[in-house]
Formats: sequence, C-alpha cells, structure tokens
Amino acid sequence: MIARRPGAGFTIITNQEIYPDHYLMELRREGAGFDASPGQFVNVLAAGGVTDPLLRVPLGIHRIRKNGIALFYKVVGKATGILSRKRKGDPLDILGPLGRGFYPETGEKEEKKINVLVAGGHGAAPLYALAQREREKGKEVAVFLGASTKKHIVLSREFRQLGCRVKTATEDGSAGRKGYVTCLLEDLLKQKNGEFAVYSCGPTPMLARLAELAAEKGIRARVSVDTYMACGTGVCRGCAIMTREGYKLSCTDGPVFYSDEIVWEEKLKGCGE
Amino acid sequence: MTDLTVRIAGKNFKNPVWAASGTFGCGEELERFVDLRNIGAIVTKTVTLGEREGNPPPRVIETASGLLNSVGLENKGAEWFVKNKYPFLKQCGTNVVVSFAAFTPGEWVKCAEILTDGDFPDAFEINLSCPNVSYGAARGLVAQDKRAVEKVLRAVKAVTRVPLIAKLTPNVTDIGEIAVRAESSGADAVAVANTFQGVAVDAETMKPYFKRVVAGLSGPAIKPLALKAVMDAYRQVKVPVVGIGGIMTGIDAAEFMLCGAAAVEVGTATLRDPCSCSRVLEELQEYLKTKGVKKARELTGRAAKQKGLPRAISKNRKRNVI
Ligand SMILES: Cc1cc2nc3c(=O)[nH]c(=O)nc-3n(C[C@H](O)[C@H](O)[C@H](O)COP(=O)(O)OP(=O)(O)OC[C@H]3O[C@@H](n4cnc5c(N)ncnc54)[C@H](O)[C@@H]3O)c2cc1C
Ligand SMILES: Cc1cc2nc3c(=O)[nH]c(=O)nc-3n(C[C@H](O)[C@H](O)[C@H](O)COP(=O)(O)O)c2cc1C
Repeated sequence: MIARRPGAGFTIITNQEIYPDHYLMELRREGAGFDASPGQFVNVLAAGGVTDPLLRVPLGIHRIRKNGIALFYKVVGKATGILSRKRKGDPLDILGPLGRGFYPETGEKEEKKINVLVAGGHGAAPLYALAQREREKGKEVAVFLGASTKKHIVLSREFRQLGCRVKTATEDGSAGRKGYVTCLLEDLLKQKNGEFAVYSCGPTPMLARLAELAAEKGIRARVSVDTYMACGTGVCRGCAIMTREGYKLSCTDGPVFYSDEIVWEEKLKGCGE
Repeated sequence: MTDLTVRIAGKNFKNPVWAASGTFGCGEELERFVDLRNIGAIVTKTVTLGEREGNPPPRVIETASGLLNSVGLENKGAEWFVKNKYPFLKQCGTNVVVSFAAFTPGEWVKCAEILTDGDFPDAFEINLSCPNVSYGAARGLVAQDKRAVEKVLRAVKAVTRVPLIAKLTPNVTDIGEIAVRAESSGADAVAVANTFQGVAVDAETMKPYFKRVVAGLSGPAIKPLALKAVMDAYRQVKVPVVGIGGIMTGIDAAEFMLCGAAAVEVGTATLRDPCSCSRVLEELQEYLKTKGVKKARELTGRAAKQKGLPRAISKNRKRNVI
C-alpha cells in the first residue's frame, strides 16, 4: 500500500548562505540511489503540515552525487525563505528527479564542440551539474556569469575550482564586462570560429537574446526555462510555454529545450544597441 | 475490516476517494509515483470534441492556501483520447470516470458517442462548470442556467448507457436548485463542485495576472464553501453527491461525507503531492476505525441531518422541495 516515491528520504547535511541571499543546501539520501541528469530539477515542499505555502517550488539539481544532491537557491519569497531556515539533520520532502535535462535524449554527439555555459543570476545553479559532468569527461568548459552588479555574481569560485574558464558580466560594469551576460557570448561568437555547444539558464528575456545569437551562427543552444510551475509532473498543465509546435510543458517536455523550439517574446537588447 | 465500497450511479467503487479531473492527467503521468489501484476512481482531465490548445500563460498562481488556475481545457480532442488513452485506462486497475465538455448541444452528443465504448467508462463526468472557457456567445457556465443543464443532460442521456455525473459550479445563488434540475434531467449523481471564480492582480504592473482575468480557485481555501455547497445539494436530491473542494486529509474527506457526499474527489492536493489520494484514503480508514464506523458509506449525510442549520430540511422528511 505504500506509495512509490522516487524522491523520498532526503536529509539536509548543510544549508549555508554561500553568496548574499544564495544558499547551498546539500542533501543525503540513504539507501536507494537517485539517478539524475544535469538540467533536471526537483520539486521541493518547503513546509509540510501547513497549507501556506501550499505547493512545491521547483529547484534545479545543482550537484549530483552518489548518495545525494545539492541545491543552490536564492531567497526570493515565502518558500525559499522557509528553506533558508532549515538545519542540518532536517528531512526534506522532494519530488524528483523531474523533467528533461541539458543532454538531448537523441544522444546527439557534442564530442568535438567547445562547451559554453551562459548563466543569468541563479540560473548558474543547474549549469554547475553540467559543468561537473563535462569536466569529469575531461572536456573544456567556459562559463559566462551575469548579474546586475558585482555582489550578485554567484558561483564564480565553484566553477573555477572545477577547472572551468569563468568570465563575468555586470550591467553596471562593477565586475567583468559591462553589459548583459549575452554580450560575452556575442563577443565570443564574433571573435572565434569553432563549433560551440551552448547551454544556458536564466531569465526568459536573456534566453531569448541568446537564442537569437545562437540562430545567427546556426547553433541549437540548450536552454533551461524558468516558468511558474505547480505540480511539476505534467498533470495540471500550468507551466505551458509556446513552442513552434504549440504549447509544451516546462515540467515534463522541459525545462531544457532547444533555443529554436521556443517562440520567444520579450528579449534583451544586443550589445551594440 | 472497514467496508470502503460505495455505490454511485449504479456502479460499485472500491473506495470513496477519487482523483479529481484536471489534477491527475489520465493516471499514466503519475504511475511512477502512485499505485493507481488504491485510487477509488480516476476522473480524467476534461476532453472536448476538438483539440484545444488551452489558455496563454500564465495559467496558475498560488494564493493563500489556494491555487488559481486558468488552464482552459487544454486537450487533444475526444477521438485522440479514445485512441491513445483508453487502452491504458481500461487496464489501469481501478474505476474510470471520463470527464468531457462541449460548446453546442450537437457537440455534447457527438462527444458522448465517441467516448462511449460499450460499458466503458464506468461513468461520465459531465463538466458543466469549467470557468476557464466561454460557451458560445454567453459568458456564463452551463451549470449557471437550469435550462442549459437540462438540455445538455437530456441530450447526452439519450445517446449513452454510461451513467452520468453532472459536475456543477458553486458560482450560483442556489446550487440545490441546479442539482435538482440535473437529477430530473437524467444525472445519476452530481459532483459538487468545480472551482470558485476568482481574480489575481499584479500590483507591480497594475494589471490582471491572467489574460482571461477570471480564473478558478481551488485548494483548502475553498473547503468551507464547498462543504456548504455539498450540504445544500445533498438536502435536495436523492442521487449521490460527489464532494469536491480543498480536501487535503482523511478528516477533510470525512467532513465532506458527513455533509452528504457519497464519495469525494481530491484535486489540488495531488498537485502538492502525487500520493495524496492514497494518503487521504489511509487517513479516512483510520478515522473510521477510531470512530467505530464499519462502513464508509454510513458517514454520508450524518451532519446534514441535524437541526439548527439554516433552511434545515431533514433528508428523510422532505427531500425534493424546491
Ligand atoms: C525548472 C526550474 C528550476 C529552478 N531552479 C532554481 C534554482 O536552482 N535556484 C533558484 O534559486 N531558483 C530556481 N528556480 C526558481 C524558483 O523556483 C523560484 O524562485 C521559487 O519558486 C520562488 O518561490 P518562493 O515561494 O520563495 O517565492 P514566491 O513567494 O512565490 O515569489 C517571490 C517572487 O518571486 C517570483 N517568482 C516565483 N516563482 C518564480 C519563478 N518560477 N520564476 C520567476 N519568478 C518567480 C514571484 O513572482 C515573486 O515576485 C527554478 C524554477 C524552475 C521553473
Ligand atoms: C489545474 C487544475 C485543472 C483543473 N481542470 C479541470 C478540468 O479539466 N475539468 C474539471 O471538471 N475540473 C477541473 N478542475 C477542478 C477540479 O477537478 C476540482 O473540482 C477543484 O479543483 C476543487 O477541488 P480541489 O480543491 O481538491 O482542487 C481543475 C483544477 C485545477 C487546480
């Protein structure tokens, strides 16, 4: 009679504010493994036993380990606020792994390509799992991190420790290149020839601009979209996103899509504009 | 052993805790998380005659202990559904109730014909109450208009042997009156109720959050309102009432049964946790045991028969007054 729950049984081992307002939460699971792929997410119940918040919040899988995972989240509201107050030893009710990740299921060969990971704000969270996997395979990884100002740049240390080449961009120019993170990609694609595998996660207007840059070079980037979600399992049909084939669901068809699949609306400006 | 079986619309169901339409897909989506055999019945996402792409995003937003949705009956159409989902549903190990909706009398009939496959499904849930679509020229819902309710139910009843559960809207002055009309027009049960209409506004942009402005509120926030709607319907009809609205626990389910529900549907709770239906059932069983109630169906209506309630009509004395 006991329900089968792939994500059950997690315990918090650390929950620390490693960047301002950004927490690293490491979770361990005893017994059964947790077979996740970079870009997949979990739906986290911040507070059991109460009905407000009522639903789970989706968080990208930040690190994948043999006996656990880590999450990296920004405190923006109710649920993430509650999560930030959890302690070592507390259990956490998570559902997952959910969705489709960065690696296309068709098994497309990315072998010879240069990996470029473009992150807007806490969009860096799931990209870290991808960088980790690629570094393990001995591949080179370039990471572009963007934020409004220097103090909002996150995970630069961690990506460097993995052996990634990290560049930053800030809107006010307080760190790295002045401008949007997509400008770093624009610079790269202008200056260098080569085959790039582009992966990205961040706010939708940023992904839209990235999709445009990728299209100009004939690159099909893999982008993880951030849409409001309810169930995370595909039953409520709440997280629809318009694609060239009509609405798809971010939770089960995504959250990672090809950049040319999505019908983008609002996008960031280019760098020369 | 507690007897959990219930009989609704002439069919036996193994237990009274069902999965509500639009929150359980057609079961297949959740097979990875849930043992479907524990569900009293799966009520499938509402299908329509033709394919519908659904409403533009955003489609959902959480409110205090509730959820507003404006999904807009996204589905691939009745024929696609029969071809692609019936094979799974027929062997899923539990009872199946297929929910459908249409926009003209002709479409209701056609839909019923397409979806009737011998004795399958166990029942139809006639969705007369989706708040997120427009019906022809009128903005209202079918279940806000007695004559429309009658027309639809009579038309569908004429073309199918499958029992009909009429799903009503709580957005009416007197749901009892609508339930009575549904009963006299051929409904074998009434489902009370669909979502309550609500609005969300984005104070930042000063605009309505949803493109269609009005959306449907579900979840624990509506439970007391839904309990009243169930009680109102129960006191006026003889056919069974299926209670829906904000059920999170077995005690919630018991409360709905005490107010008159013969079975209940769990909706939003499944979006929080895919295993909610099984948990609600386990908790209900525990409650029945604690209370020494041997048969789940004995709960039905116990609290609705008591005196001192507004317009208290004892079920045994005067059932069909209007
Ligand atoms: C697939 C996926 C993976 C994600 N991974 C991560 C991650 O790894 N790390 C991380 O920090 N965040 C991630 N997010 C975003 C995260 O889910 C939201 O920040 C979280 O749901 C906010 O919940 P809350 O209750 O704290 O905020 P609320 O109280 O619900 O809202 C606070 C503010 O945040 C806004 N907001 C809420 N949800 C979202 C959303 N999904 N997108 C944009 N704005 C939102 C609200 O409009 C409001 O202004 C991810 C989202 C998705 C869809
Ligand atoms: C996301 C969502 C989609 C829904 N879709 C349907 C639907 O297609 N047909 C229907 O009859 N009811 C639909 N409903 C209503 C539910 O079946 C149920 O009547 C309502 O949500 C109240 O129950 P709850 O509070 O347990 O969720 C939907 C509800 C939600 C939250």
